[in-house]
Amino acid sequence: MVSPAGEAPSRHLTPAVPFMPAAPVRRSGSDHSRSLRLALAPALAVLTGVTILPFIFLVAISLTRFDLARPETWTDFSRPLAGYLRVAHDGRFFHSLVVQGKLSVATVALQLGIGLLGALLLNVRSRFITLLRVSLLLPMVLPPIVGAIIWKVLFEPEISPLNWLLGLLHLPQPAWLAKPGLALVAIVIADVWQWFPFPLLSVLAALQMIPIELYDAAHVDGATSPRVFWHIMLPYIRPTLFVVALFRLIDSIKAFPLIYVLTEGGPGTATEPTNYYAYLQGFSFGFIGYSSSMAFIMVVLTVALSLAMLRSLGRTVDVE
Amino acid sequence: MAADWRDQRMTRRDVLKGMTASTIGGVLVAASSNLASPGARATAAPAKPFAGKTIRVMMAGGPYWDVVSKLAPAYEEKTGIKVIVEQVGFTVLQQRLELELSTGTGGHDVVQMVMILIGRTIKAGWAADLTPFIKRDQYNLADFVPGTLKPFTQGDGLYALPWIPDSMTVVYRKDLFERAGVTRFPETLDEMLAVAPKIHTKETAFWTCENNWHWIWPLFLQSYGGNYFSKPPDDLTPAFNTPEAVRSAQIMVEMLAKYSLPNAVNIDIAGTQAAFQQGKAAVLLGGLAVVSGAMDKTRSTVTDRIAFTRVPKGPAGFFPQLAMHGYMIPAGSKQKEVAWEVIKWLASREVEMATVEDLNQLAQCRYSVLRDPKTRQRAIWGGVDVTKILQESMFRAGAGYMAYRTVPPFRPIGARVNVAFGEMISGQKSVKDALEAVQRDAIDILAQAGYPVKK
Repeated sequence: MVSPAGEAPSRHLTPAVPFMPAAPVRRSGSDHSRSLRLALAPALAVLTGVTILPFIFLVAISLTRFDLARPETWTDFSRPLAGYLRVAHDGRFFHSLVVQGKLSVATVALQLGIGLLGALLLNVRSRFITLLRVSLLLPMVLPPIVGAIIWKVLFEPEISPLNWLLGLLHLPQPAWLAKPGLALVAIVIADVWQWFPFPLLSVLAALQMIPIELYDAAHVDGATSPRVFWHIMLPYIRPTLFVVALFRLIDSIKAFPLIYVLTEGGPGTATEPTNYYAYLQGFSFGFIGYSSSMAFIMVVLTVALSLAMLRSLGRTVDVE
Repeated sequence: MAADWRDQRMTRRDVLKGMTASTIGGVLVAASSNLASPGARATAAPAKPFAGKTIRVMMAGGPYWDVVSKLAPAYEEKTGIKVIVEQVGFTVLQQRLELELSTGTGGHDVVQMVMILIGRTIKAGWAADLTPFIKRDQYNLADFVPGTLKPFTQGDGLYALPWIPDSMTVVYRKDLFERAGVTRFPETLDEMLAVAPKIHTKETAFWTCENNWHWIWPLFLQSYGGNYFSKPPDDLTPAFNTPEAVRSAQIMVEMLAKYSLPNAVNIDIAGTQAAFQQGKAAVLLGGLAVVSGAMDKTRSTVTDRIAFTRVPKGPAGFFPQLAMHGYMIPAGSKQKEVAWEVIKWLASREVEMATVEDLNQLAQCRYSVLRDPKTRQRAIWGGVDVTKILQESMFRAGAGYMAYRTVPPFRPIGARVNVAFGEMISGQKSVKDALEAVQRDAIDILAQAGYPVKK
């Protein structure tokens, strides 16, 4: 075929449509990889500076017995595994892992459940629903410390509107943060309140991507609502649910302001997750080396958990 | 009739004229002062010896600093030193002190020396020794009650000037005691435990105190003959599982679990103060700075029914606890000379009296302030001189029984004690088990902090 200008057509010449980017010019393999390296270099430099170097520093410090009050310990690598051996014998550390596990499972499960339910209820077209969606964003956009203070007020028996309401209903008015079991429940409630909008909005977005024809077909076939949910909606939103669960799980391990403001890990250590315990060791007691050992173990556990979830997500998507 | 307003407007030329005139005037004034005799200059110079200097101070926040801020402009006018006080929460303060002092950044030239960090701070070399300044200026320490200086003294050095002596004191509701047929406040802890059920009701708890258990427990512990360590500060062998420790903890836990507020385990200073002010507890036990909040007529509904008294004693004696806080100069400060001037001012009679007058702040360190008629007038409540309770604590603490609190590894051990009491009060562990665990952990903590002891 000949072009209007009478030239032979070429794959690599100027595109037919003005302002369209030119097709990439194929270069030799080494040129290509050199270009890629150059393009990636700035990003890799930043990544190295802000993530990899601090992480290497964390690992190095975890091999020392660094105590802020004894500066000479900062380079004391004489017993590099002492911190890790101490962790292995530290009952409070293992207890903190259990607390972390309870908090993560409870908060992620409830956030996903409430988020999913809310998304199903809000998956209709209405101006009121649009307004409701916007208002549901509020807890999530509040700074975490503000959310924590709100709940502190709600859980303090002396001033709690929640307890006042319970009193009006002739129900018991518990000292929420003073009982070990209840204190954990209180933290779960506050965390779920703050973060359930994230799964809700994500799932809602996924629901709205489902082609309407599928619902029509199901309707024609006489499918009931549960069957529509199970066979049409759930397969579509499953990858979203996995990703949201992964994000929330990682975030739940990082949760700090709620613990700090509401209970400081108490009563006793009933609400002390691992990150709070590591923080106490490092910043309250000055044992930075030991705190770093715990932090490194937390990183390993979190990465392992995330990889397991990602692999599971990959299998789910492959199946579909 | 006044002239039209337009006639009174300043033109740009007027402004320029004014600026020129004032510049020339300023130059002339400066020149004339420079031309003055050397003798005149020598006398004029000390008027503002530190002109242009700024000193940053970091302290635990509170209304005290509002009073100091009011005095600061006059101090700046007099000395040329601008004092900026950064107020932070007490927990945050301790963490920031650790980081700032250990890195020697010199971000602040005057900081609070917290009692439980004294040993750690001095041993790590984070605090400047004030002795050379004191000797040079012949600074008078005799006006400070002796117990207030002791915690900051190590060897021949003095590492801080005292700020607030928080002496453990009791304020109680006379009306509730009388109604229960109790004519006086219990003198011993055993009596207190016996009286508690007569006064405790669902509406009004017998007593309340802040949940800083490593501060409250030693009153019980030492009164029953125990201590945190065998012989602090020299022998730090932990003594948390002794019979005295167990007995004292059992009494305290029983009193908290049965005769305190439902949220006793996690109530903080503000909460405990508010509970007493609102009539929800018959006894408030705590530092004088906390307890004296009961006198605040703007917040308290019970001011006309309260009385102050000493804390109860035990079979082993009378051990009113005393927490001292002070003003220190970080070793990393680059303006130690100016910081010393500021410390002298902050710890002065003038500043202490201002806080007495403006805040009813009775926890003071100077004899001259405690004996001042204005202080005494405020201190006498229901016939009891509250400052006498304080002075008695300061004198007794001078004997050294507070040494457990200033040993370098106190902070993590104190925090461990707090955890144990949380577990005991909320019923997660028995007193014996919880204290055995503290004993084991204290040995580990001491080893980690460089104080190995035999297991």
